[in-house]
Amino acid sequence: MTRICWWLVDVVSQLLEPNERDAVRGDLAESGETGGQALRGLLGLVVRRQAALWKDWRPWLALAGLVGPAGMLLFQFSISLSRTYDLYFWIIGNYRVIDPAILEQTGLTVGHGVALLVCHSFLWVSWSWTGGFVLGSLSRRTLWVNGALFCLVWLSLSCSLRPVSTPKLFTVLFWFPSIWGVRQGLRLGTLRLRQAILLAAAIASMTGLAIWTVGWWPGERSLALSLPVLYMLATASSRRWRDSYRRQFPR
Amino acid sequence: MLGEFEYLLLSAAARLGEHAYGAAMRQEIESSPGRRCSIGALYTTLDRLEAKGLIETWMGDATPQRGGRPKRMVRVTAKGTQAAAAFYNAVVRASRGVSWEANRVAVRL
Repeated sequence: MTRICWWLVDVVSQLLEPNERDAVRGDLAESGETGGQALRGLLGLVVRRQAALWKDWRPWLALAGLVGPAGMLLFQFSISLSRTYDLYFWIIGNYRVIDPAILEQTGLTVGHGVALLVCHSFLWVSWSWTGGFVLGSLSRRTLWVNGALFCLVWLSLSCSLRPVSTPKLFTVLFWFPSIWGVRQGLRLGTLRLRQAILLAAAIASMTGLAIWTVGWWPGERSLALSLPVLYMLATASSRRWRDSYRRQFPR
Repeated sequence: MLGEFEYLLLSAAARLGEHAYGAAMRQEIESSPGRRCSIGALYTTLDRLEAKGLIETWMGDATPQRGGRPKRMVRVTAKGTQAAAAFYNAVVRASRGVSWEANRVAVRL
């Protein structure tokens, strides 16, 4: 039991800043407390520290703006994308037996399908990456809470849809860019203005193209999923403005 | 104005002098009968006192009995000394002529 408590002390103390973690672990070792007492004391400190982090508006913005709404919209988009993929894969698989006139009439040509799928896959990966980036840059040390809640939203939506499930390909195409985005967001905080403009332009043109070609996914949802990139653009502009101000008026 | 726990920490740090750090201050506070000092309360209050400029902290040396981990050393600043003295004087002034013994309040006129 004591060994488990000390192991938990090690795990929980990872939530503290490195310097504080060392000092606290040293104090606990020196005071000769039992594993249970040490764990209780440490939990008290971690709760206080985490509560203090939530006094800032950024974690709340990540929670209210990204975790819930973006999680649900991305999930809906993945379902829609998987249905489009299924349809076109079926058309490609049965191409020889389908009358080409029917395909022309319905507009479900292979060329159109390929363009659509490329466009939507790009958007899927981009929205996942930008969502992850903004989640990482806003949440910082509250990431484990917001990240866990995001996984919970995703998991509960997946469970509610059973027996229909999202294809593994889309899950991979979502989680890899998202985790990469979170890492980049934690590391960089903001993008350079040029990078943010390029990314925003690419997402805007692909979103426009997707709405114009099919109009299959409502525009306002696409716009909602593009909000992280707009936030990235805003923070990159503000950083650029601050840097040029500092250069002009050095202290 | 300081809070009671802030005053206790300042007093403990002042008493310990150069040897003031987390575990020693906890031990100092808990040496009074009935007084508990959790590690959470200690470190969050130290941060608050540091933000107010009443103490300075820095990472000290590591010792073997701490598993080779460094201490967070504490020093009371001049502003901290003034604040503690002001708190003490306020308590002494407010307590003048009041006796809190044996669950009764006796005001000496």
